[in-house]
Amino acid sequence: MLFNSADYALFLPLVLLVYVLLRRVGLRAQNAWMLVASYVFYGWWDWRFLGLLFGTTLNDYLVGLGLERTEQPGRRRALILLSIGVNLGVLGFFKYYNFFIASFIAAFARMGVHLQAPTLKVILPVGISFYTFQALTYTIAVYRREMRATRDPIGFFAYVAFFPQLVAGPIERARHLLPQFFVPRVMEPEAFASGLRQMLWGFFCKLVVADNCATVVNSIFNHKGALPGSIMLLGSVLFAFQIYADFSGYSHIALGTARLFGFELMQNFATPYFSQSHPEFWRRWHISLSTWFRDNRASKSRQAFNLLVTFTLSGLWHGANWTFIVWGVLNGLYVIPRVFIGEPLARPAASRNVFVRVPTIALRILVTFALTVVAWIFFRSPTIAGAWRILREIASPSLLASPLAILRSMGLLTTVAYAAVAIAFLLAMEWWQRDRKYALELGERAALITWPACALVFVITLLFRYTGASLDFIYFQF
Amino acid sequence: MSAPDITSVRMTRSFSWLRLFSQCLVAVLSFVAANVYTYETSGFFQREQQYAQQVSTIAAHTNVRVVFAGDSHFGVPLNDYLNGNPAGLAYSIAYGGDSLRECFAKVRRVLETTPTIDTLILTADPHMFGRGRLESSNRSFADRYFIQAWDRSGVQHNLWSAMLQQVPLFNEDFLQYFRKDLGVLLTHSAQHARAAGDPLAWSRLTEAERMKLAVETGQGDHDGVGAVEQPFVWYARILDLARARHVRVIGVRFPVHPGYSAQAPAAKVAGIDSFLLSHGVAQVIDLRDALTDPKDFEDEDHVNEIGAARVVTMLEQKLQRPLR
Repeated sequence: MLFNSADYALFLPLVLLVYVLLRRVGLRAQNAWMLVASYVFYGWWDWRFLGLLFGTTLNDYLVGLGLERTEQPGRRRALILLSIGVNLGVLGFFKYYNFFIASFIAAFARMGVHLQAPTLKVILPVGISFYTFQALTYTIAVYRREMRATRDPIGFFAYVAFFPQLVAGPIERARHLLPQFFVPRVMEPEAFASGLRQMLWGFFCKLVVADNCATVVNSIFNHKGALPGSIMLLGSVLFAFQIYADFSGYSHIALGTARLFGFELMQNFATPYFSQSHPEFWRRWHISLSTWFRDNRASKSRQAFNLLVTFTLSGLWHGANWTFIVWGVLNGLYVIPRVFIGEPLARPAASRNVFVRVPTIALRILVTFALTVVAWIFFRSPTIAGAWRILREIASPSLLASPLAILRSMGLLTTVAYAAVAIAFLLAMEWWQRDRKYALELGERAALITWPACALVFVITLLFRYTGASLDFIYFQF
Repeated sequence: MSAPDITSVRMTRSFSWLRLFSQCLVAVLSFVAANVYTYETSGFFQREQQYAQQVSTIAAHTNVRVVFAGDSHFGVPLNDYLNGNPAGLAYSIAYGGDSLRECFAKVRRVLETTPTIDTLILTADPHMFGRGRLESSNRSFADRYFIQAWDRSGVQHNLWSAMLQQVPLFNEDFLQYFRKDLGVLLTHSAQHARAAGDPLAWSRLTEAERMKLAVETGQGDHDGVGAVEQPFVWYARILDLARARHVRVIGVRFPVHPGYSAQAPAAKVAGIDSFLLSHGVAQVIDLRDALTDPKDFEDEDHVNEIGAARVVTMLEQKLQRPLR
């Protein structure tokens, strides 16, 4: 089920109403209801994969119990390897089987050896990368004795399948989310209102910014003929905002929905495009995944290697394609120099002189964003050759060609205008609320500022949302 | 600028459920008022009301035996010509922009409400089988008939989604209309409009100008004719409906400029005819070249009120029954 579907508009109030009524019955009843709702939510896409979700969850539940009952290091190691093996095995099969087989065949073909190996028509279960990683946080935490295993299967199954963040995160830590299933949730009116506002902001990000950008980006990246560098640059920049608005929009709706039920999820984005360096960018972008990967501590030289491996794996996590791996490696390479040389321009960026500080900060933000866009080109292109072609165009004199006539001929001029205004509004609002934990928390004088702002966002979302064929959230494919 | 703390929860202000509900109530009432205002003032929903009224008004035409269904090729000349007479024998439910899906929804509706109908004259225009008619601007107008029939086969996602589309500000077709209007307003560009009120405007153009316009429009309208399955599926469903109610179906093509009709490949048109006749259409009457005087046309692909009278006379002769 999509958040931006009519089905969800019916599903959410219904689930919430029953959930509230079940408060009188008890916590377990609420958890059971949450579990049922989450399985319905997931099964709405394809009920056949409910078995996979159930199976991996059952495995992790039993592994948790096993870890709790044994003190023998050998058995504990075997159990955690079982959990990791099953989760990553399922993920690997569904996500990477054909990729590795095809890459293997291609590598041998270059050496003159032609292999025949079976490729399967494997459907990628939606959200598999998210829920397998989330389930792993539980068994790893129990293995490390950071938390006790739970004996309550309903609570645990509801935790793994928790519908607001099941298919596209945030990837919650068991230590953070699981205990919330075992204490009565307090539904505060302020948190409820804040949740609604956060959902509204998420819908604005997705429907207005991401989907309008997507129309332009898809037309440019799928264009058969040659396009000038100016158009390619425009498409690349718009993709940077598309993927941000799409994914952060999903996270906002997930966080907002969870708050309606009295749950707190971790923040997944914190205005990443205002970052002044790549390490900062990765503290603000897809926080739940980057912190998942950022567990190891090592010496500086080892740290650089670890960073590169981590970013490469992060790229591979996104999908079975070399373009994602290049995207990961590029981001690793952006981050590594900071390990050795520290923050460039750190002193002028901290200067008391506003005429020194502001241009320096602007320059740092711009450079970080430009490098990010280069990496996004690899992320968006279907092939590495395609990404190179775009970069070559952008680096050519055709970068200076006016894009207006071509956009008009492609029927994109109006949509680009909408997307540009939407991005400007997004950035202005994000700058305004950059230090707030929740979206659309604009000040202490809520009634005077927040509600008119919410009304404005609502009206903009209603009138300027994309209205073509429905577009899935990008991160559903991961 | 540092990343904010992502683990702490801060609740400082007092905020009651009553206050939240009252704010939500104000928001809901404002939304309702905005919808009512939009519905009453928007040109899009005025069209929608006209669309629904055209279908419902057939109930007042007690003598109706023949009903016409199609797009503007039928609607522009026939709606005023036939529907103004409550004692008339024929009635048009054709509307500009309709695809065969909308035709199906409306035909089903009028066959249910008007059992006296014995003949359906249905568009057989080649462009109705092209790519340009896969999505109709009247999609949400016709959704109401699918909802009334509790038939999810014709709606985009499901019936619930179609119901939400009936809320003016949730209606995606309205938003496209709104955005288009806004674009026109912002760019000060003139909208294409037919020469309303002047039935002879087309005849005042030179033949070269007429040919140029006709070829351009014909090329656009006939893109992918016969290459998409959907229109054939809807046509077959209309024929099934008619068969179940013992209604005779005649396929008709109205007169157009030769430059327009030439853009429909002859082989594709023959294929459409073959499909129609093999699926139960009693007769295909092709009048595309029947009128040659520009004074009979409003533009390259629509006859005017003068041409309408001549076309109806031709149809009366072909069908050997009165239509007026």
